[in-house]
Amino acid sequence: MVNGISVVAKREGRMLLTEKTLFIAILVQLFVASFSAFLSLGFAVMFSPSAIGPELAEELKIGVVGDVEGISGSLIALMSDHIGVIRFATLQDAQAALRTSEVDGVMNIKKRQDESLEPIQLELFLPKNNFKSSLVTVQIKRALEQFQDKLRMEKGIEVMKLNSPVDVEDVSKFFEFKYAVLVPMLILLPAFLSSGMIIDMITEEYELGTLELLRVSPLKFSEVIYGKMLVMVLIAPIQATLWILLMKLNHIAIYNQLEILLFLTLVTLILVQAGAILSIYFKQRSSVHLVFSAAFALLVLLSGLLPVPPMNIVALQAAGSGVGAGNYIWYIVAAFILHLTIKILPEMSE
Amino acid sequence: MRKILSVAHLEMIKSRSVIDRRVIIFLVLIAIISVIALPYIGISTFSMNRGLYIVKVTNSPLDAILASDGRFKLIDNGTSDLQISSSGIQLSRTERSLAALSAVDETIKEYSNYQLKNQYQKDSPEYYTAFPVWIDVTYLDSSLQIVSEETIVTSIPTATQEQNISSNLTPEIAPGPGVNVSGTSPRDIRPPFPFMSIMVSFLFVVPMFFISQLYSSSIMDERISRKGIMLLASPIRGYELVIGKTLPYFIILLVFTVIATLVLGGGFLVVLIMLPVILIFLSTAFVSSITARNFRELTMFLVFFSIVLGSYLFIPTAFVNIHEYSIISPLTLVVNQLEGEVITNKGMIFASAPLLFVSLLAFLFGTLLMNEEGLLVKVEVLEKILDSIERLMHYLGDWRFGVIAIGTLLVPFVFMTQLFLLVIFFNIMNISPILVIGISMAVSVVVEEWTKALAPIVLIRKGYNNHTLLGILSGTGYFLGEKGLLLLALASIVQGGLGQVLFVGAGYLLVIPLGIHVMGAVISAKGIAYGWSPKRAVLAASVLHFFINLVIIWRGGIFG
Repeated sequence: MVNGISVVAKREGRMLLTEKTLFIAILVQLFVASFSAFLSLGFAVMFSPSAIGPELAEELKIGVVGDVEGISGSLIALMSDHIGVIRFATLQDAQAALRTSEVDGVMNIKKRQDESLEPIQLELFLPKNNFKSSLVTVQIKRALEQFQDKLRMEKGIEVMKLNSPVDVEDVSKFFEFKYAVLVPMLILLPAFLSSGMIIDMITEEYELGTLELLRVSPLKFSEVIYGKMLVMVLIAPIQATLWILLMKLNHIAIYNQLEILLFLTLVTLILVQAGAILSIYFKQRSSVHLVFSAAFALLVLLSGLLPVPPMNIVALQAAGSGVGAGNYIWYIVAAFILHLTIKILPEMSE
Repeated sequence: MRKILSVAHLEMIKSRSVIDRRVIIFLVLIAIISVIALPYIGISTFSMNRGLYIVKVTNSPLDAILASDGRFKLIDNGTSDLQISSSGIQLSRTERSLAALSAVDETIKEYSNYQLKNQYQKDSPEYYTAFPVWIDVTYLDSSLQIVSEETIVTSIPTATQEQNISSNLTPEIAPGPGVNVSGTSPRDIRPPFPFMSIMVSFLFVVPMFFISQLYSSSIMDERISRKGIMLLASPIRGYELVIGKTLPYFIILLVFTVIATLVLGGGFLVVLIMLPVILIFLSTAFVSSITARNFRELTMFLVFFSIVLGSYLFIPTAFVNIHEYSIISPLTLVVNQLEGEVITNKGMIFASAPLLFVSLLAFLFGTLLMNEEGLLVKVEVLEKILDSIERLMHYLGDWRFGVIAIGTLLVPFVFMTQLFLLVIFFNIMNISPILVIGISMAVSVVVEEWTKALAPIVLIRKGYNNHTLLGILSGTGYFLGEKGLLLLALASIVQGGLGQVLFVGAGYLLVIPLGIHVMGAVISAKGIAYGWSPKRAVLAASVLHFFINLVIIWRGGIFG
C-alpha cells in the first residue's frame, strides 16, 4: 500500500515540476498578494494615511473659507499640524482652487450669531470617489478631535483619557492590518489552491478514462488517490514557507512558524480530502467545482462556530499572541472524519 | 448561420448535464445547513483580530471597557504587551506593544464619546458644550460645484447636496438654542472607503469570472472527450464551431451586463463600454482551454488571466478623477458615465480598442488551432502559438506579406502587456523608480522581441534561408502596427514618466524606432539560423534592444 502511494506521489510530484504548474501556482499567488495588498491598503489608509507614507499626508491641502476670527483661528492653527491649509476669501475662490487641484478639499467655517451659545459648525466639501478625499477626511478628523478636546478642557468637561507615555498619533496602525488580514490570507491561500488542483487531478483521470487502465496495473485505485492527495497536501506548507521568507524580506516577522505550517497542513488535509471525496462521487469536473465552491463557503461559515476560526488562529500565531492547543482538536477531528468518509467510499475498497 | 445556431443549441443542452439531480440535492443540502447555522454565527466571529493584544489591567473601569472589545485578551499574570495600572502604563517599544497601546487609546476614545452622548440631553446647551464642533461632509461630483448651506455660492441652482453618498453620516438636525446644528461630531466622521468605484464594478465583472470558467470547461471537455473531432469531421467549419459554442455564453454575459447596468441606473453606453470586457474574458478563457494540456493547467491559466484582467480593470479605477492614467480601464468610463459625465470619443476608443483588438486576435489564433492536431496533441504553448501563426500565414498567401502582416497584427498584444505593466507599477513607481523602470522595460522588450521573432521562426523551420530579409520584414511590420496604434490617440498615456519608458521611441524620429525594430528581428532570425534555440536568439536581441532603449531614455533626460 505505502509503496504504491509513494510511486504515484513521486510521479505526480514530477509532473507538477515538469509541467510548470507549480511555478504558475506560485506566480498566481504573487499576483493575489500584490492585488490584495493594494486593496487592503485602502482599508489601512482609513485608519492612518501614514500607512502609505508621511509625505503623502504632507502633500494634502485644504482650502479654508469663512469665519476665521476668534476661536476658529486656533482651529486653523491646529489643523495645519495635520494638513496644508490655504485660506480663501470666498467660496468661489476656493472652488476655483479645487478645480485646478491646488487644494484637495474645501472647508467652510460657518458664521455664528452668538459665540457663547452656538457650537462651531463646519462644512467640508470633497471630490467624490477620490482616494485623496479619504485621506483628507482622516487628517481633518484628527485635527477636529484634538480641537474638541481642547474646547472641552476649557469648559471643564471631564473626558476619560489614556495618559499615554508615547504619542499614540504617531503609532502606525499597520500592525493589525498586517497580521490580522494579510498574513492569514497569504498563508492559507495554498490550501485553497491545493484543493482546486486535487479536483482537477482526479476528475481528469475519470474524463480521460485512464482509471480503467488501473485494472491491468499493479496499482490500486485507493493508492492512486492517496498518492495524489499526498502531493497536494505536501506542497501547501512548502509554498507557505516561501511566503514566510518573502514576508521576512519585507520586514514582517512571523512568529510560531512551525505551528503555522502544521496548522496549514491540517487545513489543507481537510480541504484536499473534501475535494477528493466530491471528485470521486461526482466524477464530472464542472459539477465537482460547483459543489465544492458551495461546500467551501459552508465550511467557512461553519468555522465561525469554532472558538477560534482558522484565519484567527494564523493571525494570533503569526503575531505571537498565542493560541491554546485545545483549539486544534476541532480541525484534527474534522480531518479524521473526512478520512473515514474516504475509506467507506465503495471505489476505495476495490 | 444555421450551423452556428445548431452548435449553440447543442451547447445549451450539454450544459444541463453539469447540474444533474445529485448536484442539486447537494446544493440544497448545503443551503439548508447554512440557513440553520446562520443564526448562531455573528459577523464578529469572522474578525481575525480577536485576542490579538494581550493586556494586563489592574484598573477597574478600564477592565470592563477593554473586555467589550474582542481585540484584547485580558490577563492577570504572565507576559503581556501592555500593563495598565493606577500608577501608569508600562510598555515595551516593540511594534506589538505600541500597536496595543494605540488600540487601547482608540477603544477608550470610542467609549468616552459614547458616554458623553448619553450623559447630556440631546440639543440642550450642555450637550453642545460637550460636543462643541459639528461638521457636514459633502461629496461633490465631477463639476465640483460647491453649494454651501449658507448660500454664499449659488450660481447654479441645481444643488449637489444630495450627493452625500456616505450613509454613515447621520445628520442630526437639532433645534438647539435657536440654531440648526447639522452634521456629525468629529469622532463620528467615517472616512469613505476610497475604492467605492471598485465595488461598483465588481457587479459587472464577477459574473464574467464564473461564466468564462464554465465556458472554458465546456471547450476543454470537447477536447478531452474527443467529441470536438467528430464535429470537425462534420460539414461545420472551425469558426462556425467557435462562434456557436461561444454565443450562448456571450448572450448570458450580455444579459448580466444589462441587468447590472439597470441596477446601477446606467444607460446604453455602459453596455457598449462593457462589450470589449465581455469579449476579453471569453477570449482568454477560450485560448486557455485550447492551449492547456490538462485541467490543472487550465485552472491555473484561468486564475492567472482572471487576476491579470482583474488588476487591469480594477486598479486604474482607483484613480478616477485623479489621474489621466485611470482611463486605461473601461470601468473608469462606466464610473464616469454613472456619475453623469460626458465621455469623449477619444476616451472611448482608448479604453476599448486594445481590449477589442486583443480579444478578436485571441479568438482568431484560437480558432486556427481548432483542428485535429491542435485539439488533441498536447504540445507546449510556444509550439501551439507557432502552429497557429503558420496556419494564419497559409491563409495570408504570399509569405513576405504574411511576415509583415503578422508583425503588425501582434502589436496589440505587446501594447496590452505594456499597459498591464503600467497598471501594476503605477502605484509603486515612487518606491524604487530605477527598479520599476528596469523591470518594466526589460519585460516589454522581451515581449516585443518574441512577437517579432514568431513569424521568422516559422519560416526558418520551413527552410527559408534569407534571414536578414525575414528580420527586416517582421521589424517593418511591427513598426507599421505600432505607428498605427499610436494614431489611435494615445498621447495622454504615452507622455510622461513610466509611459515614456514603456513606449520608448514613440515620440522620436521615425527612422530610429524602425531601425531598432528591424535590428532586433534580424538578430533573432540570424541567431536561430546560427543554430541557437529560439529562446536564446530572442534573448540576445532583447538584451541589445534593452541597452539601446536605455541610451535613448538617458539622452531624453528622464533621469535628469
